[in-house]
Amino acid sequence: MYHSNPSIKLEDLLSSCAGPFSNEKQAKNAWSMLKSAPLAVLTASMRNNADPLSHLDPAGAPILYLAVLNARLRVHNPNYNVLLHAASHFVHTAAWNQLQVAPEFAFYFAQGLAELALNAPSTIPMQQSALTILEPLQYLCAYMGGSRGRFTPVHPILAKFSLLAKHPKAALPCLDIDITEIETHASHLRYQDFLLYHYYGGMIYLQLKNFERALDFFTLTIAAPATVASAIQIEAHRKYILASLLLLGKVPSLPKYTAQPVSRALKNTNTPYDDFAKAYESLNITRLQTEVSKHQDLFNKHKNWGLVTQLMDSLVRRNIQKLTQTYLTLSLSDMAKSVGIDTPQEAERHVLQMIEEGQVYATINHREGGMVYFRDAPNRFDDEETVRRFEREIAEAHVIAKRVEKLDRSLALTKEYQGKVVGGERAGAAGLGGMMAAFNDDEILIDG
Amino acid sequence: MADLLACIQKGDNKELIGICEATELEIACGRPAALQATSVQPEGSQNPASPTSPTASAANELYQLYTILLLAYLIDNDLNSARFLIKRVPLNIRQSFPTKDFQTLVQVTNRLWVRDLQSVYPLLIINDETNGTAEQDGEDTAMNVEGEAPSADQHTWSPAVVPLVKSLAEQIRERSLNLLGRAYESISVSDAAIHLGYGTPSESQEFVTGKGWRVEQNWLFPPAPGAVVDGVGQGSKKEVKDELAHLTAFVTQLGRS
Repeated sequence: MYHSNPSIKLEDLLSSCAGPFSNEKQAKNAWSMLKSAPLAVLTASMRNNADPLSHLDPAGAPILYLAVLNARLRVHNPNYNVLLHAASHFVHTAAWNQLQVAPEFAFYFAQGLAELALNAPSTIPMQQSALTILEPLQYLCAYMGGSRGRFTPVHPILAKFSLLAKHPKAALPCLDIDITEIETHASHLRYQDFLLYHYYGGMIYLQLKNFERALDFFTLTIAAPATVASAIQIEAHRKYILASLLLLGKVPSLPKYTAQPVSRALKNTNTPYDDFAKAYESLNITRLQTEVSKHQDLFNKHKNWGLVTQLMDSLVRRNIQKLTQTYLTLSLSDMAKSVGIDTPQEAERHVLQMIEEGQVYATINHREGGMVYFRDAPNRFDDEETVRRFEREIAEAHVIAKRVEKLDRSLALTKEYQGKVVGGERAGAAGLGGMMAAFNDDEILIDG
Repeated sequence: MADLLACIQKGDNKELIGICEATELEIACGRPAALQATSVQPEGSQNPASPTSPTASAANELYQLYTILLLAYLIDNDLNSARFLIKRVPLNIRQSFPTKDFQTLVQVTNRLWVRDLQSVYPLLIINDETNGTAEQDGEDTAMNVEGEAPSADQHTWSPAVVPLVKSLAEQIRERSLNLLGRAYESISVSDAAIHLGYGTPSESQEFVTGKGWRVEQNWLFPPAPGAVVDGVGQGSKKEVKDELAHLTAFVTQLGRS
């Protein structure tokens, strides 16, 4: 435990912690000193009243720069504009490789930025102050691990503030990279960070209309290992149901590895959504409208009304899609009557939109009296694009398989796993433990 | 701003979007005062209308950036990003814009969102008075329909964004034609005119004939799907054999590991 020296001055810190350091011990000492330095020292001005931030260089001493900046972000009534400018300067010029050995400075920085935005002057609306910190968050997320698929505490912050800033696209550079590494010790990650990141990420993909990836993210939230259901998981499940209906027309069952307490809580709490889903799957517009009016206030309260209206609009199109299973050709007026639309012109508008978005393959012939001909999807898998895609997906699957193999091997070597295997044998468990016992008995027989 | 205008000249819309998006976030963080520039002025501050005051130039820069970015999103047919951008531009900033370019683009976005193409084209017409002799070749004359009474919608676009506005109108027309070709075996000339933004039937006919369509009295017939060259090569026989050999080697290796 490094004791902070109460009489240390800012200048002392600046000179002894700037580096470069001749060995790792020196470096670690410097960081300890910085971490335990009193706030009053780190936020002081220099002797000539200059701002230390204008004196320090992120390219030469990024950790020192951040130590000062982090302290400044924590004072009461921080200088909003000056600190934001310093943040931008930092991410544009920092020597990121130096930060990798003391990443906690970067993670405190991200949290400090979040606080700054949340406590911005009241003349600045939340949406605007959230926008101001997106650039540094993007850099932090990418350079502190995001670009390599390593999960960091910055991920959920970037996702949250992209939503608040009404700029969902800003989080994509990190969101689009799958997480393959989670290192809990070095980065002070919490279980909640994982849940929040995937929940916010799902919402972002919903806003960007990438429903497939939104579903992936919500699934990760819901199926995360748990002994107790989190409110985040319950909320994610609601959006999971609605997004599934939009994308697939039905709600797929949750993964088998979903924690029992969680699936129980979901079943008990989200019944209105389950009822809504069943009504939607029946393709009956009247039945759906009944469910919607029953729970309108609830959907509103949960901020899911937008999704619900999208779903109501989509039901007409699902009914049109169903027609393709029965008819080869149909007149626009018959179509309108069949799905409950007022005019053939409106039916035509729907069909046109569906053709544009690839939801149906059909052609309209007006000369023959407004007839629609349903066609098969043109699947030509013999072109260059398909071959390239095929190769790419094989290569990706290969990489993932290797990674899983490595993970499997390293898990088998852990104390916990070995303990379970051996412990199972001692307890005489019927399963794997029993098998191991039998194996050892055979050995003894052979030796004897 | 100079590199923005240079990018417009180059005609690479994706690059333009990338630069604009990065610039927006850079301004928000590096120069947050620019975003607050047109909020309530403290007493005794400079006259915001003065061309040399930092407030006016910051507001001007933002106005150009937002207008160009919105246009670029529309050209890219990314209505989602367009809508979010509009949500992000604070009202006080919008009110300080020197022209109605941005506001008109908001209208264009809203109409594109509900697919009301008929009302979009008039908004994109380039007013002759601002742009003298520029509209003399081919399709551009189609846009300035002769004899059409000036509508209340008509907006005079500032010269800097005119190339983008023209590009947008062309894109919308091309996409519409593409969709019509996929969706219709036959369509009436008047219906087509609505989708393509032409005032008279003869213009629609002229336009589609140039794209391989067939005209019969008042009906238009798109070309057969296979006939249109869509640029996806089949590759020569040798290339296909190479690919096959390559894939076989790949799969064999996978099987071994």
